[in-house]
Amino acid sequence: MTNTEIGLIGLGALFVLFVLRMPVGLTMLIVGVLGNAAIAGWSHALPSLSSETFAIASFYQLVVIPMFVLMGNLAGASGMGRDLYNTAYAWVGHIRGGLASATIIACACFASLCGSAAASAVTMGRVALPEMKRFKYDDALATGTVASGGTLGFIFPPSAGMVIYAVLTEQALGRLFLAGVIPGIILTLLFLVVIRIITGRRQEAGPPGPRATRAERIATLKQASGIIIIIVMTIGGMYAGLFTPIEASGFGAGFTMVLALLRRRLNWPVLRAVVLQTMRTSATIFLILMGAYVFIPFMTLSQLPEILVKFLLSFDFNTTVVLIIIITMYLLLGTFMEDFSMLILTLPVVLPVLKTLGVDLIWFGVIAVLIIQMGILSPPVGLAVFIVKGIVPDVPMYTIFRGIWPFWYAMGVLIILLLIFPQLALFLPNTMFGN
Amino acid sequence: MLAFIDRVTRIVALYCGGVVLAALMTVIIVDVTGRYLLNWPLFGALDLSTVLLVLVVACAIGYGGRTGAHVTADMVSTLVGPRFEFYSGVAVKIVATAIVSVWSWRLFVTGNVARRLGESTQLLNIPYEPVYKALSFGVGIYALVLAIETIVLVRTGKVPLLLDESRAMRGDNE
Repeated sequence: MTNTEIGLIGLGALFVLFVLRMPVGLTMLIVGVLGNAAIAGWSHALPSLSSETFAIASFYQLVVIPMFVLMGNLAGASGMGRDLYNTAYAWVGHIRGGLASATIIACACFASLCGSAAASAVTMGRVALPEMKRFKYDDALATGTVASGGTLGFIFPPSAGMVIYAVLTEQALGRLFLAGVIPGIILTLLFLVVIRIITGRRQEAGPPGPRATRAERIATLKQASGIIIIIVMTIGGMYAGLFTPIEASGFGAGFTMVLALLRRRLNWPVLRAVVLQTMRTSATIFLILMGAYVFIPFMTLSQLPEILVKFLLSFDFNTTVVLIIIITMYLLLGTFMEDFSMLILTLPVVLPVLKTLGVDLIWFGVIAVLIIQMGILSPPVGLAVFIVKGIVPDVPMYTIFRGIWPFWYAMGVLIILLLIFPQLALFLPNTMFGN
Repeated sequence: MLAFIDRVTRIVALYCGGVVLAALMTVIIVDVTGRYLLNWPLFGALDLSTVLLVLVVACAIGYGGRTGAHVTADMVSTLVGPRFEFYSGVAVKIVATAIVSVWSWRLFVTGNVARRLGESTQLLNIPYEPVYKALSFGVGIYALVLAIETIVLVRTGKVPLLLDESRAMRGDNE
C-alpha cells in the first residue's frame, strides 16, 4: 500500500470517527498515531505522540490562550459587558434601531477584551435581548444582532481563531492581530448599515429608545472608562510595540482582575466560575491543537497535500480562482463543522496550496477567521445561534436564522472587499512591522 | 463513580488550575513591569511561563472531558436512532479510553527519558521530567473520566455531563 493510499484511508477513518461523534481532537490524535505507525512504524509513531503533544502544551506563544480567555471571562463575569452596553445605549439608543446598534458597538468593544464568539454572544445577549424585548424589537432583528455581534470577537484581537491560525501557519501573532483591526471596524460599520437598512424598511422592527441626557451619557462613559483603558492598553500597546501579544494577554488579564476587584464585582462564586470556564475553554483549544500536531505530520508523510497542490496547479487556474474555490469549500464546511476543527483539519492541505500560489498568509488569516465567523452563524450547527436560543428559548430557531442572514451577507461583502483591497488587512501590520 | 471523578476533575481544575493561572499571570506582569520600570526583566520568565502553560493544560484536560468541552463534529446526530447512538457511543468511549491511556503512558515514558538525558529548560534548568509527568497525570485523569463514563453509559444508557458554574456562566444548553 502506498503512503497516499494510507493517507486516503486515514481521511476516511477521520470522517467515520466524526460521524460517530468522537471528539475532534481525539479523532486527529487516533488517526495521526495509526497513520504515522502505518507509514513510518510504531517506533516513530509512539514517541511522536508524546513529543508533539508536549510541544504544543509547552509552546510559549500559546500562553496567550489561557490569559486572553481569563481576561474575557473576568470582563464578562464582572459586568463590564453591561457597562459597555449601557454606554453605547446612552449614546445611540435613541435613534431608529438604536438598541441593536448599541449591541453591535458594545460587542465590537467587548470583542477587544474577549476572543470568543460564544462568550461575547452570552454576555451581550443577556444584557441586550431583554432590553430589545422591552422596546418591542422584532425578534429576528434582536436575535440576529446578538448572534452576529458576538462573532466580532473572532476578528478583533485577541481572537482565539487567529492564535490557532498563527500557530498552525507559523505566522507572527502580533501581525495577525493587527491585520484584524481595520476589517473588524469595517464589519462593525457594515453591521450598523444592515440595521439601518432593516429599520428603514420596517420602522417597527427597531423603534427608538428614550434619549439619554448629557449627564447620563457622561456617567456611562465614566463607568466604561476602565474597560476602554484596558482595550487601548492591550491593542494600543501591541500596535505601539510596547507589548508582545503574550505580555498584553498577561497584563490585560491582571488589569481586568484589578478593575473587577476595585469595583467589588469579584466575589468567590464569580472567581470560581471564571477559573473553571477558563480551564474549560483552554481544554477545548489545546486538545484540538494537540490532535492537530499529531495529525499534520501524518498528512505530510502521506504526501496528500503535495498531490493536491499539483492537481490544483495542473488546471492552470489563476490565484483568485483558487482562492474562490478554497473560500467556497470553507463556507460549505462551516455549515456542519465546529469553528476551530474546520480550520485545523483543512490547513495542512490548504496551506501548501496557498504558499505555492504566493498568497499572503496574514491576509488569508483574516479571510479564514471571517469564514469561520460565517460558519458560526450558518445552519444547521451555528454555535452562536444555539447560544442565543439558550438565552431566549421562546424564539423559534427559524426566526433567529432569518435575523442572521442580512449580517451574514455583510460578512460576505467584507470578504469581497478584502479580495479586492488586501491592504485593508495588511496596512496596519505593514506600517507597524514593515513588509 | 461519576460523583468521584467530578470531584477530582473540579478540584484539579479549580484549585490547581487557579493557582497555576494566577502564577502565569504574575510571571508575565512581573516580567513586563520589571522590564519597563526597573529595566530588570524577570530572569527565566520564558521558562516559567512554558512550564506553567503545561500545568494549565494538565489541570484543564480532564475537566474539559467531563464538562463536554472537547468538541464533536455533530454531522448526522439527528439522522441516527437511539440504539445506534448507544452502541456507537460505547464504542467511541472505549476507543477514546484506549488512546488516551496510551497517550498518558507515553508521556510518562518520555518523562523518564527526559530524566535519563538530563533535559531541562534553558535558563532556570527546570527539569522536564516532572513537567512531562504532570501532563501525563492530567491526561491520565482524562482517561479515567472516559473509562468511568464508559461504565456508566453501559450500565444506565446515558452519561450526564458535569454541569457547574462554568456552564451557568456560558448560559448555553449543550
